[in-house]
Amino acid sequence: MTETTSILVLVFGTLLFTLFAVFTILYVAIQKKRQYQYRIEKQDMEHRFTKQLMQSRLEVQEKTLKHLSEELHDNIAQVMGLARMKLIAARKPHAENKDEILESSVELLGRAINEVRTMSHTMNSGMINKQGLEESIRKDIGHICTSNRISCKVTTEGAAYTLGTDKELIIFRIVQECLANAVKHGQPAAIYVHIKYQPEQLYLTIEDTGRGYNPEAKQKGMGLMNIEERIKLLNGKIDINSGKDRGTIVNITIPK
Amino acid sequence: MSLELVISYYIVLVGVIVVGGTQYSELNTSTKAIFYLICLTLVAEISAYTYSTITKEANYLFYHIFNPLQFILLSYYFNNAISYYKKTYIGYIVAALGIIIAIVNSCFFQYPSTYYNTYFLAFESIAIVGLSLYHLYIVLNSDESYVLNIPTYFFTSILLIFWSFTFFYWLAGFALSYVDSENSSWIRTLHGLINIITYTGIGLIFFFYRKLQPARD
Repeated sequence: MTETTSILVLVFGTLLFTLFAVFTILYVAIQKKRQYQYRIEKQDMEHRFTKQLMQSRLEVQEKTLKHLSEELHDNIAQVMGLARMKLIAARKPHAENKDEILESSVELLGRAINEVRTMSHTMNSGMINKQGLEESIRKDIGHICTSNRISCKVTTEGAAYTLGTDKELIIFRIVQECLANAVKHGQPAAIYVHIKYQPEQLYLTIEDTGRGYNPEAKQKGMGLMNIEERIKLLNGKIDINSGKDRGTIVNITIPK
Repeated sequence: MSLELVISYYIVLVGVIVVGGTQYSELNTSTKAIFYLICLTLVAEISAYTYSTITKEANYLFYHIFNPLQFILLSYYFNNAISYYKKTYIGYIVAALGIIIAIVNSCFFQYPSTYYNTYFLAFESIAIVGLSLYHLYIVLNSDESYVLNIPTYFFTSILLIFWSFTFFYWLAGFALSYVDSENSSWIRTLHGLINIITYTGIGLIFFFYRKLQPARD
């Protein structure tokens, strides 16, 4: 082997070995940096999810208490007030139809007792745990429609399954927010909720026959931004179809 | 190597020892092994150079003693830097193997009076490169948050580069009978420069040690 060849072999061989070492070191550094960034993103996402979950719990509790307050004032207090008036009338010495009045008062008190029992179940904060998502949506929409004199219907399709308490609580808040928007802005005559249980995802449709709006023209409010933020956390998608006087259809897809 | 390069080399070693000494109390066990290695290197290099300058004879004996000691300290470093080795004492086993190979090589193959212990250097290079690659593999799979905050990552990286260079330099140079030839001074100069760059890198790690998280593996 000539001297030049020897030198070339020495130089290139050494260079190759050293380059291999440098490449390995850089590869490790880059991979660890990616791992670190991924870990930070994951922690951030978990933090946002926990924060959103706590916020959803608080909002559900607030809404429940508000509803209970309205029920107590508008319903139970009225019923018991009426029962009291009848009993006062029956107490008078020359009251007519005392038996009928007492019978009517017993009926009214019975109604009030049943309402209080129903309320105590609602006040139990483990509502979603015990009832599940579908039942919670049915009860909530029932209250809304009764209060606002709207026609409501909830339908389901497919074999029902559970997505976990935390996820279902956030989905329930999304539905509540959509229903609140429908009542507040659309003033519909009817609201339909359809829950479709697909093998890989849950598909929700909330449709109202209200005034509708132009989604492009109107600036997004806090309510809609909250809905989108929650759906994003669940890796879901939202699609809103609406038009003036054509009602609004909200389609939500949540992966299982 | 020229006298200027030799003096520069010693100055770098002294500088690294001073910087390392100021941070000594902060250093963990594995990093202290590197510090002791630098001290040993300075003593060995000065002794070998002084001997050959005064006696005009080859100083192979110094390297026959220094290289195994160097290998022991590097094995100790890896034993403490890699948690699996710490539990299984693999670093100590590798060090013991190195001592045996060094003794056998010096007694039967490359006598200290006549030859550099290039066979042992080849073994040492392979072992250190292998240990470094395994350490980097451990770092890659660990849960440590950010590798650029781990001092042992930098020490191991420098050792990997240096010993990859050393392995091929000695192996190919010996195989080509070029290392000791009359026209190989530029190679020895290059080798000297690589040594200076390596120890400067180690010095920089010592200098920035406080800003780096101590290795917990």
